[in-house]
Amino acid sequence: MSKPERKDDLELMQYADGELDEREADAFAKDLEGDADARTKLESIGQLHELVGGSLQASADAVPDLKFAAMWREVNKAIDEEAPKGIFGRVAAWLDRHRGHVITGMVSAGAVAAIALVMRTNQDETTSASRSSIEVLPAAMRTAPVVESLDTPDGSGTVMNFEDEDGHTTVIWVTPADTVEGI
Amino acid sequence: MSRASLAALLFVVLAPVAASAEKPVSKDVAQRVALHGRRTIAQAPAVKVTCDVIEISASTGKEASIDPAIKKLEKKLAAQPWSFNQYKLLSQSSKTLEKGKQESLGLKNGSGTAKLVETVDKSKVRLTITEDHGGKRLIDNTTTIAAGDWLIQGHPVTTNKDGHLVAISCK
Repeated sequence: MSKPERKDDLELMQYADGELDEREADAFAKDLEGDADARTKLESIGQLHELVGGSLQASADAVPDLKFAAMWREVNKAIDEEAPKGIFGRVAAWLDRHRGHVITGMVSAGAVAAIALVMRTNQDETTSASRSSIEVLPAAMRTAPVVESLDTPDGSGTVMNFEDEDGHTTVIWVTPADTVEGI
Repeated sequence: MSRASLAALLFVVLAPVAASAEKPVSKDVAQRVALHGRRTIAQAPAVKVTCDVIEISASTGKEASIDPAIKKLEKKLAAQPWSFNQYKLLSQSSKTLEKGKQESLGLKNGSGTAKLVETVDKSKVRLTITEDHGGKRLIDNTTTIAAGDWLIQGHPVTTNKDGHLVAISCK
């Protein structure tokens, strides 16, 4: 009894694995129709094949993931090793990565500072030039000029005041002593 | 980027700012002087006025004419009781007079000085003006004149019948 069962089991596995030739497979299939135990075994063998095959596929898929994980670990490790030490080094590295932005910003800031400096200088000069200790009153509110002292060593002086809508005009005409004619 | 490059860039940016901050205060601006370490008092700004000085050659001709540069004085010159009707600009300048300091008028013919004696009522100036010709003092006068008004000093030129005028107006 045990011998044919072993033979049957072997044939069942060969049949399930598709290792029998056509003639043997057809004959084995006909025999299965009348053997319920063999059919049950055949189903079990099929389920076992699916289980083993799925496990192998999962293992095969896991290999690339592990490889990638290992690669990322190596990359991260390399980055950590290349990361500059110290605050100055980190600042320099950041500036190095953003060199274009930094230079643009610095040039802009420099230009703004230069413009501000120039404008401040001009403002000071304008303020200085425009600052006067006196204010110009409207012509109608002004009083006529007063000549408080007049010294003409070699002649004589004549003072004349005139007024128009623009204000007063005082003329001091000096006539040298040796001049025969006046003005 | 090296440390030297970083330092150079920082210098480029900060130098103008530092220069701006260290700019000395103008003498014209009221300066604050430390007093007893804590309190400060504001010094009065220097008394200054700006005066236009116009030197004119006057002559008599058939047709009246005036230099376009002194067109603003045409009406005032024409109103004077002299026979001149042609006026030519010899020199023109703007002088900033500081109280008590004598300033040259920079005349083309002869020489002259102006000194701001003081300001009066915040709208007038007291000026001392001198004029020398041929090495001799021609005139020395002190006049109080309102800002915007004109003081004209004149004398005949000995070599001809022309006149030499110096017009001054301060503001």
